[in-house]
Amino acid sequence: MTAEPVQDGPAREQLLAEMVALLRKATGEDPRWADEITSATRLEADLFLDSLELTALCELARDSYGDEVDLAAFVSGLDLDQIIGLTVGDLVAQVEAARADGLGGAGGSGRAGGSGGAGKKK
Amino acid sequence: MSRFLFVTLPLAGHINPPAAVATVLATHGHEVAWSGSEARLRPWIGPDAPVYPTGMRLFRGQPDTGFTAVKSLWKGFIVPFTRFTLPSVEKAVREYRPDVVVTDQHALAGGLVAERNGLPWATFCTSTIELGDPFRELPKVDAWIRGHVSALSAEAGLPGGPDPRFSPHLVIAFTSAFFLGDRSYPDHYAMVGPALSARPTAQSFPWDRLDPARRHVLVTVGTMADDVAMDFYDRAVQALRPLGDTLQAIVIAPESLPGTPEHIMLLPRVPQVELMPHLDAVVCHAGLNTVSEALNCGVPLVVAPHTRDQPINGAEVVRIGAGVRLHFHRARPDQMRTAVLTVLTDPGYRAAAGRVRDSFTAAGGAPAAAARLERLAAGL
Repeated sequence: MTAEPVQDGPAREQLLAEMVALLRKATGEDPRWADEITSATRLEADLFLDSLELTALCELARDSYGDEVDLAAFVSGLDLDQIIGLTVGDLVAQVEAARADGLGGAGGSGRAGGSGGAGKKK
Repeated sequence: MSRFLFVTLPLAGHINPPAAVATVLATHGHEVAWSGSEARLRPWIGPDAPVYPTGMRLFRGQPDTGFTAVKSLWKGFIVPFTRFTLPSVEKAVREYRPDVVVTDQHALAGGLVAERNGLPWATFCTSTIELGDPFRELPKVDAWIRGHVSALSAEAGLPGGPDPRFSPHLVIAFTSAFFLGDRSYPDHYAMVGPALSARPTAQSFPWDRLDPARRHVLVTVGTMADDVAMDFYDRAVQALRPLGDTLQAIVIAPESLPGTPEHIMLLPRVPQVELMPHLDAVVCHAGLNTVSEALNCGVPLVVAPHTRDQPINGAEVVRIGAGVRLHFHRARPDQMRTAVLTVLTDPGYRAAAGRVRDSFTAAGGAPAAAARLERLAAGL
């Protein structure tokens, strides 16, 4: 999936750097590992982030940004292919959007896109 | 005397527990016939047990992890395997005329055919993946899986029928309620603990190489794609390389690694059940069979879950205090060494593993599973 279009620039760069720091904290990895991470880096295929680490990351984001940044709610609205393709940039976009509108708990379902029905195809 | 048809998946970890239960049923005078891959079944069930072959569908060790593995498990294996085996399981039921069908949780044809023929049936959970309810917070993923299951039910002529993953009559899980954190399950769920059968084909092992003055660590990642496994074993060997004074390691590696020191034995296979009582720690991928075999002997674990139910099993091991967890792909040799030394040094890990062993013993194992199946066959 693709991140929402947001203005590039120092604010975005700063949020990406913060997200990378949270990823390091959630995984216990070293700075060299974090150097490779960009917005396009996929959590599962590129970083091998597992479900426990993803949960830890969501909690760390809430701790550092406040309750309005609810990445767990965002992830719970995703379907299988969206979770498989989830990138660092997608999370940064969530943080940015949640902080922009500052509404508690609104971060989730609206952004998942591609509503339902995945199980019916085939 | 009752007649049971066991419907299996062509994977060792899914054949071993049913084989142990079938042995108990046979000693009680019952008959067990098998539906599955004859090549995979024969080493476990002996030359005489009747087999209704499903043929063999290629199933390679899967390199996938995480949600990619969830997708490939269903789209690449469970769904096509169910379609592929449905006719042969139907034929087995018509020819053998069992009183009860007993089916692996992911051999969906077993439950579908039993329902179609109005037979009582039981589910064997040979993994914890459906018991752990891993997708309760991911409703769209859960719906995607349910979509596949209900499509297969409809194809089998049972639209809206019971979920073929869970028998409405009897669900037997080869772990203990204690291991799964004492979640509550319906009354028709029986948590019987591991049903272990020693590998019938005798595996040789260089027993005389085990030095009683040193401690012993088994490193195994079970059935896995060779390149994924060798990457892990390579790091494990680096981790254990400096520890030759105090330990010996047995590494179940499919290939050799150059320059492996004397205290690390690389072997393609070992008699794991027989070896377990001699071990002080097991480093593994947290597959249910290996975890259960280790805990059943009170042996502490270093778990590096890779895929499917392994993250669930690994999390339970850590919660109980019977081991420590590493990241399968990213654990560095120094982290692996620390983890092994931690479980070897702190007696709390072995003590916690012993508590799981006690829960397994109390759960009753293969005889308890057989007793529940006998009750089902008797209409109780």
